[in-house]
Parts: sequence; C-alpha cells; structure tokens
Amino acid sequence: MNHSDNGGETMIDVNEITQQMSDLDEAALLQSLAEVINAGPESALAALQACQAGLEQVGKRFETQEYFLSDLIYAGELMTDAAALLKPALAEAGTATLGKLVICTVKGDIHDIGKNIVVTMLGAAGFDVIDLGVDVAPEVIVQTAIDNDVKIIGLSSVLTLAVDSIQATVDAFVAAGLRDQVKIIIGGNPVSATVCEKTGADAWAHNPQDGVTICRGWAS
Amino acid sequence: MDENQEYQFDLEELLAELLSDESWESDPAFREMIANGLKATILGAF
Amino acid sequence: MESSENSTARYNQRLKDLIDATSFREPDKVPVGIEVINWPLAYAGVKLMDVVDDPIATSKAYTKILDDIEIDFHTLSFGLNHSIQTLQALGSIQYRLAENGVTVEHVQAEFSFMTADEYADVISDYQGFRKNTMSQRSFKAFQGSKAEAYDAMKKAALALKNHVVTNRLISQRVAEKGIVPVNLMQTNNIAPWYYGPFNVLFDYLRGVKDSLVDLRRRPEAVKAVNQIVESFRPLSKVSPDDYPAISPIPASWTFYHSECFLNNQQFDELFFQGFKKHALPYMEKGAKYLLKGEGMFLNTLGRFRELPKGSLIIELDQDDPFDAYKIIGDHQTLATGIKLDLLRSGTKQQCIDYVKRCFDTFAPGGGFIFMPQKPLIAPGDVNIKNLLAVYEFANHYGTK
Repeated sequence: MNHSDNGGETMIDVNEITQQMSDLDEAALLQSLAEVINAGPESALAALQACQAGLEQVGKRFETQEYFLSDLIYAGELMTDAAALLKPALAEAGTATLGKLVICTVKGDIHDIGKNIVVTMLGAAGFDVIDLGVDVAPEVIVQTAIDNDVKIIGLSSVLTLAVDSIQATVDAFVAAGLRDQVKIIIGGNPVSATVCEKTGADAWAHNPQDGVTICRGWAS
Repeated sequence: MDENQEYQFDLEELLAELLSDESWESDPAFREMIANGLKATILGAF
Repeated sequence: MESSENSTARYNQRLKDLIDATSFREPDKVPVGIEVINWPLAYAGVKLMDVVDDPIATSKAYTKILDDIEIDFHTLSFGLNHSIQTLQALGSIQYRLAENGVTVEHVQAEFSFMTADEYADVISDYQGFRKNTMSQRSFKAFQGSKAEAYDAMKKAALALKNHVVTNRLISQRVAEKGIVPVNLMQTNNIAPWYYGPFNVLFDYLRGVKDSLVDLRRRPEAVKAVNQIVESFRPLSKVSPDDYPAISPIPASWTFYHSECFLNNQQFDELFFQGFKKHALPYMEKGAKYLLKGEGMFLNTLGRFRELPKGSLIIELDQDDPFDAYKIIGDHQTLATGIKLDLLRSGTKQQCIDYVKRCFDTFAPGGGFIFMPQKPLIAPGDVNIKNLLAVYEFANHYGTK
C-alpha cells in the first residue's frame, strides 16, 4: 500500500518520500513535502516519519559504503529543511519522541562536524536533542541533565587530550550521585573500547549510525 | 587620494610596499622570502 | 654534538633503509619516525610564549625530544607550524593559542566563509576574492585603514623572521642528528605535490559542511571553481624524465582534507583522477609520494593498486592498520605502528605488545615504516613513559 490512509486527509505517498530522502533527491523531496503541507497534520506526521525512514536507509547505505560522510552531512541538511518545512503543519499532530538527550563536544575541544551529523540523525530518529555546543564543562552537562531530566548523554571529541574531559564528565555524574541514572555514549576520533572502559562510559562509537542505534536501544 | 574615499583593501599592493621597505629587513633576498611566507600565512599554503 | 661525518653516515644509512622499506625490500632496520607539531615544547616543559621571542631557546626546547628518543625520520615539517605572533599581529580570526599554551588552534566557528550567493563573485574574479575579500574576513588588521593594515603587516613580517630563524635552528639540529625528512613541503627537486582543487572550497572558502552540501546542491558552481583552482596549479620544475637521477626520498606528497568525507564517486572525480594524472608520470620513474591521511579512509585504499608498487607511503589516521594492511599492505607502504589512545591510556606492556604485533605483521618483505598513527600536537597527548618504552623497543626490534 503506497498511500497513507489519513481518515479524510489527502493521501500522500510515504514510500515515495522515503525513497526521495534515501536517494538524497532534494528537488523531488521538497516538492513532495510542499504538497503535504496543505494536506493536514496527520499527513505531515506521516511525511516526517517517511523522512525518518529515508534517513535510516541513508544510514544503511552508509554502512555498505555506497554513501559516505558527505552524504550523511547532506542528508542532515535535507532532514533539517524537511522538519522546518513540516513544522507548522505538525504543530497540531503532536509528535511522540524517544525522550531527551544531551549532546556536546567536551571541554577543551572545539570540533563539531561529527557531533552535528549525529545531532541531526538523533533528531530524525525521534530524540529531543539538547545540543550544548562545543568546549562544554562537565558541570554544565550535569546541570543540564538534572534540569531537563535527561537520561542519555552523548560526548563528542576529536582531540586526544579531550579524553581527560570525557573522564571528568563521567566523574562529575558520579560525584552528583547520578551515574547509575544516565547512560553515557562517547564518540569521535580518540575514542575506542580502551577509552570507553577507562573512562567508565557505557558505550562508544565512531560511526554515527552505530551511535544512533545504541541510543535508540537505551531509549526503548 | 580623497580622504573621504573608502580604502579598498589590496593585498598585493601591501606586499609590494613591504618588499621595497628596507626598514624591517635590509637583505632583499630575505625580505622577499619573508614576504612570500607572509602571503602564504595570509592566504593559506594552497 | 655529532660530527658531520657521523651525521652524514647516519643520514645515508637511514635514507637507504627508508628507500628499501618503501620499495618492498627488507631494510637493515625498520625506519622509526615521528610527526609532531608543537608538542615537543610540552615535552620540554615549556609553553610557546615563554620562549617564542628567542629562537635559540625555542629551538633548544623543541629539540630536547631528539636527545631522548632515536628517530630515523620525520614526516611533514619538524618545527613550529604556525607563527603565532605573525597571526596575532594580523589579528587572525581563525587561529589562536590554545589554553594549553602550546598548540595553535584552528577555530572555524566564528569565521565568515563565503556565502552561496558569492559563487558568481568567486568565478568572475577568483584571485581578487581570495586575496582581498577573504583576507579581510580572516584578519582584523585588514578591516581598517591602509596605514593600520601596513603597520600590522610589518609587525607580522618581523615576527615571521623570528619564526623562520627558529625553524632553521631546529632543522639544523635535525640534520646534525642525521634524521631524514620523508617529505618536504615545496621544493624544486622533487615531483609535484598534489592538493585536490575542491579543497580550496572545503578549507578556505565555504568550510566543511557547506562545501560538501554544495557538491549536491550546486554542482556546476563547484565544478567551475574547481576548474579555476586547477588552472592556477603551478607547473613542476622537474620533468619526469629527470627523475631517475633524483632520490625518491624526500618524497613528494599529497594529503586528505575533504577526501576522507567523500563517497567513492566523489573521491574519484575530485581527487584520485587528478592525483593520478599529475603523479603517475613521476611514479613510473620511481618517485614516491607521502599520503597524509585524516579520519577514516579504508574505502579509498584499494584505488592505490592502480599506482606503481611502492609509490606511496600512506600515513594512516583513525583506521585500524591491520584492516588497511589487508587491503593495500602488499602494494603500498604503511606508516603506522601505535595508536595515540593506547600510548596515552594503555599500560607499557600493552603498548609494546601492540608495536610488536605491527612489526611482526607489516615488516616482513618491506612496506612498513614505524610511527604513531597521529601527530603529537598537545601536552598530554601521550604518556611519556609509554612513548620512551615504545621507541626503545621499536628501534631495537626492527634492527636485523
């Protein structure tokens, strides 16, 4: 069945939208979404979910090396534009999320390309992402988690010396008595199984898709 | 130049002046080498 | 101080070992090397601004590491990379001294790259856009009057003189130690280096994200800029026919900037075909190229089977070298041997075991030179005891 049955709203072709996102066909995707905007909130939600499904397929095509990082970055742009386009129509539909997640580049590190790719993919996956930016102190991360009742923390880094900041952040959660209430995932150049074990993080990933999958597993 | 005329930045013009200015380095060969290095610093190596 | 005869003898032996190893002949000793930026200052316990006004003090601190570990070669340059005082004199928006007081950081967050609307300006006057428009965006000193700009240029030039003198002293010490530079930045007597033209958009004009998005969103504009950049590529002063008379090391070089983000088709169009076209005539005459990789790029390594065996020395970065070896290890040299996170966080025995495994796997038959898989750039990048132990082991274990 190609078309979503929206109980009275104009039917949209969700498979086509998914394929357009998967193929990174911006022109076709934006045209499809332009038609959806006037179709009603349920159609907008179906279109958003179709985009998310397309982004998952992008992730799979990345794993097979058909796509690479440039394509993930472009997909992130498309997803951001799609979400912005659909936002007014979505307001009435209400969207369930997988919960909140805090992500940042740790103290002493200013790189954000990888983090930004992951932020877009996490948002597309259904997380409510709080992006604290770069060079973020451990106490800021902890306080944000407390203030927003966040259970998943993502720490990004590129510099080898940032491993110290990862450690300091994990220690900050321990000191706050929150360590067993959160899951911490680390990503970026210097992370590895060794670093994960040493710093006390719960998981690590180099591949953005792997990171999203792990966070999804925790959320469910 | 008319004082009211806005200055149009011109990198090559500044570098040419630097190259002919002995006050910062008297050896013309070293002056040229440093001026080229400064150009690479400003523009990037490529 | 070493006698110059000793230095020359050591240099010649090391050069022979490097040529053998990278030509898939087992050397008398597996070459052991390093790539560093400002880290040696941290090793010596100094911060950059403590010594930067004094070339002798700076070079003495910078080269202390050479008294404590034996190295046969270095890649890139061995010396201070950016002249921080030159950049400060110009009011650099992109470069600053890191909080650690040693590293010069490249900060892109506050920089005004060109907008998509400016492609027409770039295409109509590429030189003017880069030299004038982008320079003004990069340096605060160029945003005021001419007098202010010239004053800043003079201060910057004086600082650069200091920087050049410092690096010459460092190079002198490297030569006294008989250490071989594996590649040189720009010189008249080697094959032409290669910088992929798309990297101008990636590095200088549009930035990482927007340049990559432009590949799909504005392909014709990107192509036009790439062609203009290519038209300014300097001609080589050395003909391929001259090549047999010249040592293949120091090697020429290329590196990945945008390349480790590109999918296979983009990699082919934007890098590999151009690189092959420029480098192959020289490689066929025996030239070697250092490929400095960044990020993860196993997906690109198979292409290098299209180039002559032993024509590339591949500096790995994030990738697992054992995976890289399976793809290309019998055809092109791998420059690898220990990961920084292990040097930093592992035990001494874990480090030595890893290095031994690299030697045992990669060294037989040649095609391997030892070095850490990332440059050392900042204080705390490595555990010093691990570093010293690893170099002692590598120098001993790799000797016949």
